[in-house]
Parts: sequence; C-alpha cells; structure tokens
Amino acid sequence: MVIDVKHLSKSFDYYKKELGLKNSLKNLFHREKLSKEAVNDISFQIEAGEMVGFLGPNGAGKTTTLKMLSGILHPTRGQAKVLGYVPWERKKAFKMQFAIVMGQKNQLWWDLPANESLFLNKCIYEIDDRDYQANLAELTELLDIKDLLNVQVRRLSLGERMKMELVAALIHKPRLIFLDEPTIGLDILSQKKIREFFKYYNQQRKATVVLTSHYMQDVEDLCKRAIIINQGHIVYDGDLHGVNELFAHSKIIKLQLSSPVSQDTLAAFGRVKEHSDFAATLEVPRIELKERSKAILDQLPVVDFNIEDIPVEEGIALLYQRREAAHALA
Amino acid sequence: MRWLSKYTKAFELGFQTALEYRANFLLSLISAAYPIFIQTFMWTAIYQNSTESVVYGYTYRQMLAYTFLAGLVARIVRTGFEYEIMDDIKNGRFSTFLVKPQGYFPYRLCSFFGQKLPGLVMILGIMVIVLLSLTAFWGVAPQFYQVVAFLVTLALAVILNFLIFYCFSSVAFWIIEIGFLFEGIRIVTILLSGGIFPLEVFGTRFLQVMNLLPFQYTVSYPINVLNGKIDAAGIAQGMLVQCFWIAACWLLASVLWRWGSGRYVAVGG
Amino acid sequence: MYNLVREIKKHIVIYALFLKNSLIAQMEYRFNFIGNMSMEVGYLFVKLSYVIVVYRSGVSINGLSPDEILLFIGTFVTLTAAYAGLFMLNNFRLRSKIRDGDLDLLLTKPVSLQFMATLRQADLTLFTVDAVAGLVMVAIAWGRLGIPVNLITVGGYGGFLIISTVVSYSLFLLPQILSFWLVNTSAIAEVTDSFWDFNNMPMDIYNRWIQQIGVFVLPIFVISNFPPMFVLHKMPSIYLAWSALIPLILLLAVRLLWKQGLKNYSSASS
Repeated sequence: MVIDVKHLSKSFDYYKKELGLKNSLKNLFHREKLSKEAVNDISFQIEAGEMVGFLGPNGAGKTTTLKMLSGILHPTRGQAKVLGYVPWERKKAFKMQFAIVMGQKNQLWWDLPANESLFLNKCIYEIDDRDYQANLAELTELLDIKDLLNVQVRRLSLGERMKMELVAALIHKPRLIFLDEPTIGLDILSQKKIREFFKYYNQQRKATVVLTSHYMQDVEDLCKRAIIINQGHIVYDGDLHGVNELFAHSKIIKLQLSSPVSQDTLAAFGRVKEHSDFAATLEVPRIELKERSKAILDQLPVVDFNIEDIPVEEGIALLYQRREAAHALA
Repeated sequence: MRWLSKYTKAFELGFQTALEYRANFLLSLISAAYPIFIQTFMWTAIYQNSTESVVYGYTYRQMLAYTFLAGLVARIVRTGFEYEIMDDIKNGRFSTFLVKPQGYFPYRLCSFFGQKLPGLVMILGIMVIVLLSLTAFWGVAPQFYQVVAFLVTLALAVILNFLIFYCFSSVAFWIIEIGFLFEGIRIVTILLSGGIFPLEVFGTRFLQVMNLLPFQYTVSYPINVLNGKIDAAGIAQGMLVQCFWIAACWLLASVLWRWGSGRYVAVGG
Repeated sequence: MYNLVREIKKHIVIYALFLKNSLIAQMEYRFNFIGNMSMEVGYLFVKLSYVIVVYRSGVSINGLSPDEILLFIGTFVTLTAAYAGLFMLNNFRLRSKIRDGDLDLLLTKPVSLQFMATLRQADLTLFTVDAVAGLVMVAIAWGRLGIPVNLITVGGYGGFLIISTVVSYSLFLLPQILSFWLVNTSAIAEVTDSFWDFNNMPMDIYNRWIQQIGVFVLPIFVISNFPPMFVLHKMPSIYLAWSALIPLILLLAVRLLWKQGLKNYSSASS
C-alpha cells in the first residue's frame, strides 16, 4: 500500500474582522476566533501503481489533502502513511521518492533556460550522471520539448512551461506523483498531450499517480478510480464508471439565438436551465444528443451552438443529494 | 481659471499618494536618523581629539548644526519621481501627454509639490525643534534675516533639485531597463551637494570644481545661510547663482526632453 | 558522520549552482546590471567619504590613527559585499515567499529549507564591487601599518571575517523570520537594513555604554570591529571568547525561530 489515510482532518483558524474604528479598537483586545474545516475526517487507501483522481469543486479540500500527503501541511487530527512515512515529518528518504506538481506554482527559474533548473534538481536529488542523461532524454522525447531546453523559461508558452515543470518534477524517477490541477489554463491540445504522457508514464514506470482536477476530462481519461470530495468530506470513492453514469447521463447544450424564442418552444428540445432573449442553456439526455441537436439546428434560429459536460459542481451536488437521500432512507 | 484645474488635480493626486505612504515616510525618517547619529559621534570624537577648535573651517557647534540640518535639508529637496517617469515612458502614458493640452512638465511639477507638502510640513517642524534646542543649549540663535533668507534659498533649492532630476530622468528615453541607476545618481548627488559632510572636507581643489556645478546650491548653501557662515552680501550673491542654475537646468531639461521625446515618437514608443 | 560530510558537500555544490544561476539571470538584463553597479559604486563613494574626513583631519580618534581607521572601514566594505551581495536580497524576498506560499514546493525538496529559502539569490555585481574595493582598502591600510603578513595575522583576520559573515547572516535574518507571523514586515526590513551602516566607523567613536550594547546585546559591532581589532592587538580577551560564542548563539537562535515559524506556516496557512 502506498497511501494509507485514516480520519485525516485539517482546520484553519481565522479571525472575524468587522469594519469600523470601534470594532478595530475592540479587536485590539479581543478577537473572535473562527475555524474552518477544510478537510473533515477523510479515510482512504491507494495501492501501488494506481492512478486516482480527486474530483471536487474549488475549495472542496483537494489541494489541502494533497499538501498534507506531501508534508507541506500538518493535519489537525488523524494519521497518514505515505510510502511508509509520516509525510509531515518530512524525512529526506521520503522526499527523495515522490514529486508534486502544482499547476499554479513553478519551480523553474524564470530567467534561465530550463536545463539549468533541471541540472539543479539533479544535484538536489543526487542523481548520477548516466541516469540523469537517460531520463532527461526520455522525458523530453515523450513530451516533445527536446529543442526547448536551452530557451529561457519566460519565453516558453504556458503549455511548454508546464511540460518543462513535469520534466523537472519527474527527473528523479519518483515512485509517487501528486498532480494538483496540472492542466489548469492550458489549451485543449496541451491538455491532451499531457494526459497521454501520464497514461504512458504510469504504465511504463508503474508509478502511483494522485491527481486533482476540476476538469472531468482529466480524470475520465486517466483514472479508473475517483475520489470525490466536497466541503471537506469524501462523498464518493470508487469506480469511475459510477460517477461517469451520473455525469454522462446528460449533456448541456448552449445556444446563441438570432431572435427571441419562448421558453415553451425551447422546452420541447430539453430541460431549460437558463433562458434569456438571445441565449439559452438546455440539458438533454446523452443518448438522444444527436437527434436533439439536429432538431435544434433545424428548427431554431441558432447563431452559435455548444455541447458541454455537466459541470463537476453540479454533478457533485447530484451525487450529494443522492447520498443524503440514501441516509434518509436508512 | 479652468485651465488651472487640471494642474491642481495633479497636485491633489500627489498629495494623496504622500498621505497613503506616510508610514513609509516616517520609516525613511528613522533610517535617515542613523547616519546623523553616527556622524554626530564621529565629529564629537574628532573635535575632542583635535588640538584645534576649528576643523575644516567649522566650529564644533557649526559642524553639529550642519550635520543635523544636512540630513533634513537633503530630505526636503529629495525627489523620487524618476521611476514614475520611467514607467510613464515605458508603458506609454507619456505619449498621451503629447496629444493632450496639458504639458508633462507642469503635471510632474504639480504632482511633485503635492507629494512634497505633507513631508515638508513635518520636516520643517522637526527643524524648528532642532533649532530651538540648539539655541537653548548653546544660546546662539540665528538672526531673523538669516531664517528668512534660508526659507527663500530652500524654496529655490527644491526647484533646482527638481530640475536637476528632471534632466536625469530623460535617460529613460534612451535606456528602458535601468535597475537602480537613479539610486546611484541620487546618492552621489547627495554627497556632491554637501548632504553628508560639508564640502570643505574634501579640499579646495574639489571645492573649485564644485563651484562650477549646481549641486552645492541644493543643500550646502541653504544650510550655511542659516548657520551664519555666509554674510548678507554672500547670501544675495548665492541666490542669484541659484536663479542662474535654475534657468540653466530648465534650458537643459527642455533640450533633453525635446530631443528624447522626438526620438520616442520616431521609434514609436 | 559520513552522511553529514556528504550532505555538506551536496549543499556546497548546490550553493555554487545558485551563484552561477543568479549570475546568468542577472546577465539577461544588462542595463539593470549596470544600474545596480552604479548604485553600489555610489554607496561606496559615501563610505569612502568617511575615510577622507578622517585622513584630512589628521587626528587620531580615541587612540585610532587614520590608517587604523582605514582598516576598519575597509573591513566594513568587504563585509558589505557578503551582506548586500549574498544575503540582503533573500532577506527582503522571504516575506513575499511566505505570503505567496512559495515555500510549498521548496518544502518537498530533499535539501534544507532554510538553506533554499535564504541563500538562493545572489547579486554578484554588488559582491564584486564591494569585495574588491574593501580588500584594496584593507591591503593599503595593512601595508601602511606595517602589520606582518603571516599565517597568524592573515589567517586570524580571515577567520574573523568568516565569523562576521555568519553573524551578519543570522543577525539580519532574525527579524525577517517574523514574517511567518506578521503579514506586513516591510517596515522591519527597511529599519534593520539601514542598521547595517552603524559599522561605517569603528565603534571607538561611541561611548562605552553604546559599545557594550553593540557588542553583547545587539551584536552589530561584532561584525566589522572584531577582525581589525584582532590584527591590531586591540582585542580584550572577553571579546575573543565572545567571538567564539556569538556565531553559535545566533545560528541557534535563527534555527529555533525558523523551526517555530515553519510550524506556524504548515499548521496555519492554507
């Protein structure tokens, strides 16, 4: 077992702030302390070689969980063993074996070519020359960025920079990889490339990968298993098919119209979620997507037409409702 | 008077900025106090160990008065808009002034005075305290005419230093990434103005060179007016020289800025 | 023991890379580089003006001849190279690193976090300008004073320079560590930074009271006074003992405060 988490909780203290001079004077002597539960009593296990996706809306506690598992944060309560270590003791042997990539933070030096930062990591992780060369060649080949190693990081595109960040994170062949929103802000093509890379990497190296994202696609493509977290609680842990059914049950169609169409007319094509004079959002069952789309395009004054997945937030709300209902029944 | 309102606006904006950063200003006063502290001890040690009572042409009292006043006067005349000008040129705000019926120079000047005012009031307050305590300790008060002349020369000094740094700022037309260049210029200018030590310290040959440059008229000269080292005739003459330098720097500034902005337009900003 | 040696070696290699990377990054912006250099030369002129004042007055100050004072000021300039070139930038940036959560990734690296966070940036222009100017001043004073050049004098002086470097690292880092608890410490940064200039003149210009405070309470005078005092045989034995203790005390204080701060970082932040 690579990760074993038992009743892990994390709460943050903060102070209530009220406006006004009187209150700021009052606060000088006594501040009301409030506490927010970011992660609340979660437990799960992850086996070696698994690829697990953490799904959840923003602020659900995904990143906080990853930070605890990588030793950046101390939990308030509970235990965790990662690769046999307690992560927040931050033992060197533990640090040598894992990597974390955060989509919004970079470790590469901005004004230097990436290979300087990579060489620094070689020394930090005590990699010997031959391993370093071989691994560097393989990773840059896979991600198709061999020619960019000598370019200053600030001159790279966002997607190229992310790929470099991945090379920097994987250069020491970690057994365990945490990915926190690795595709955030990237274009579809780069997202796809990075997903393909991780699929291949996981198969080849048998590395364990834990991934957070609020793009359903990331998780759908990569992970067999999903853990869904909402407001600090795990609301679902299991096969992704279970979730998929929920999310894939229906699709969202967004329309721009050239002339106003009444709500009743729209209702004939699907459940109306939003509606204004020149725009509408419809929810339609997935199996009927093709016919309904065709009908919409044929019969309505459509200017623009978009098909989207149900946003994760909504899917989770659905899931949550279902669980509550199950509780109520039991 | 409507044409005036856009300049009073710049003044107001500068004034507000200064108030916003008042904590920074107070701190910079604290860090300005350190060198005065060090120099006071140094001069005390030098005068105690010297067989002469007059060193570099200053008595002990004059020297201490000079040290205190130099720190304060250098702070009063100090500019600080160089980096703002650099940003204006870099991000193209300057070019909007080329098409607006508002000159960049008067805009800067008004904003500068606005920024100056709150600090000025505070420093003049400190100065009054310093002068009163020096008078109380030593029983020598500056003459009334000296105080008046000092205030006039101080005002001229502020304008002169503004123009000097307005000239320096035009560098930004040619070089965009400047780093701390202005910081280097500022610190050397303070030294040459007599803002750290009296210029007599560096010898007569140095003084001769300095007499050909405007810098001493921003700090050293106003202090020596108050310090009683310059007689009435010398004060009048010095003011004339100040006016001469103001005119000369004005001329230089307009040449540099016309040249620079011409280049700026040609290059396309 | 073997492990410790290996770790130290690793950190030295990484530090060399930090220096190299800082230099390359700096070369990227050539005019900034010239601008920064001109600033440091400007500050150097100010420090030199003190030398001029002393020499031209021709008096011994509380038992120190002008040549001896030059040795003090030269030492001060040399140590400014270490402070301004190697430590200052990191100290200033620690605040934003803590606030923006930039320590997160550094925390997962198998290298000392304090090392990564406080020594990563260097400005070798400042370092070179001050080190060259300072050592030239020291050499001139050394020659004029006729101090013998042998293992004891040079080695002793060098040893005290190292002690002083350690003291400046820790003493000026300490207030910055408070950023772990306080949100806005830019005030602290400004005030402590100008504190450095207290070493511009030998501490003999102050009265005994201030001297004792500056050596034992707020050990700022230790930095640029002890090395020249040693070669001039003006060092009381109590100072000698203190110079062995103070770097250890300060390093320990930094370490403890750092650990405490880090605990706060990883339990309070999000």
